[in-house]
Amino acid sequence: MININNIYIVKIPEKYFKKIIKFHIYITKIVKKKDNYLLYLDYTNYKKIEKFKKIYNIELEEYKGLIKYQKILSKHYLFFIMFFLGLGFLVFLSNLIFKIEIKTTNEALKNLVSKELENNNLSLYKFVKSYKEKEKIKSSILDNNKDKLEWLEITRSGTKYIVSLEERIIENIEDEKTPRDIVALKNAIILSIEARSGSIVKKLNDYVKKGEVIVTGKITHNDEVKDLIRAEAVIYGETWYNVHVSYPIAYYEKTRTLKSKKRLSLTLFNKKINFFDKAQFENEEIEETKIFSNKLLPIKLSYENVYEVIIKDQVLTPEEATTEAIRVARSKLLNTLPKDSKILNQKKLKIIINNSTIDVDVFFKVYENITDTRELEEKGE
Amino acid sequence: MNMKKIKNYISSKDLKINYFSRHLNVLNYDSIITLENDKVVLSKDNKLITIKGHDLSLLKLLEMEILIEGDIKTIEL
Repeated sequence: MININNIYIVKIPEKYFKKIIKFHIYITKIVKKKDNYLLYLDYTNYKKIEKFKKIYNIELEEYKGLIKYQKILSKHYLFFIMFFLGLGFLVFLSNLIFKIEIKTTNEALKNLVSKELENNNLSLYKFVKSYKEKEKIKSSILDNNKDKLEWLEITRSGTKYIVSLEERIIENIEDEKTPRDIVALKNAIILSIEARSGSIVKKLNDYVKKGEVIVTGKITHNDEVKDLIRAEAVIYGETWYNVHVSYPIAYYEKTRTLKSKKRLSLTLFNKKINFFDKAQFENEEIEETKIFSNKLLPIKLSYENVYEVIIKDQVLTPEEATTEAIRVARSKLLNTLPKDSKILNQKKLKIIINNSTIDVDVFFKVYENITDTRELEEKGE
Repeated sequence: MNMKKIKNYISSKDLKINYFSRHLNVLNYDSIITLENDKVVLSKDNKLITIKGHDLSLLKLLEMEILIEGDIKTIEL
């Protein structure tokens, strides 16, 4: 029977073709090609014809079927071994964990999650986990840290694991029954008192020192403390600040406008050629992404994001510098104050003009919340 | 009954010649006596089958089957 899997294609000159027929060689297909015949043979018949190889000038042209692949494999076996080894190594490397990123600013929590991951065998240079394992680890960490973690998600991005989490913030539920006084947070003049419970012991426009009681939780009768309650009040007062600012007289500022463009840039030696460059900006700032550059060749091709900028470069008069310094002082102070605060008044205290800077001390009167609390002890207070 | 017919058809040792568009297919021949451009002679049970024509060539040569291509003029049994 003819084996259709493996076919040997041999070339034999036309003049010898008739001679081999008498040797009972069976040919699946015969194709004439110029002065030769191409004979398609199975292995048995190929072996028969092989004996007359030299006599009849027979050449093996090609293989077809499985034998073709066997021959390719045996010829290039080294390449295939290296290829599969390389592929295996690549698969091995791509299944290793090279980075774990825990997304939180809380260092303690970061360390905790890091340890938990390590306990669950999810650490650097270990194999990546399957979806099921990952979910199991996630549940285990959440179960072990119910009081610290609200939510946790582990996502794989190539060889990196990104752990996103939400810290559980347990609100310190203060015992609302604890008796307390409302005291001054800082030295101030009282400008407003909004009391819901307790006895007000200070008046508006009274000067209070830090820690001084404004609304008390002590209920007294004939100078005798009868009961202790929880004082509830919000106090606003006038507070005072001195802010010192040193401001440069020579002023330089660069700010981006909303205009931007993209262009391609080719640099040859010191000459730069821009492509697709539309509108020209008077001043610009460039963010460059190199496409091609070479240390040996003075050529560079880059893609540029170009932003229009406005440059303020001026030498200020002492008055201008003082105004700017006060503006900076105001903003510096407001940044430190709670949002519901406001500046009532300001006054320049001292101005010193140096060679390149101006030093300004500014006094501010501020309207701000001065409420603080102090717990009262049941006995002895 | 039908199976027997099929079996007989498949394992038949009788000479069969099929001709279709420049191709002549001969089944159950014994050997090739002559192979030339204008004549191919085959044998079967000591009898000769002569195929005459122009540009005759072999397309397939198996133990019991031969396929001849060319401008076939006559087949003599």
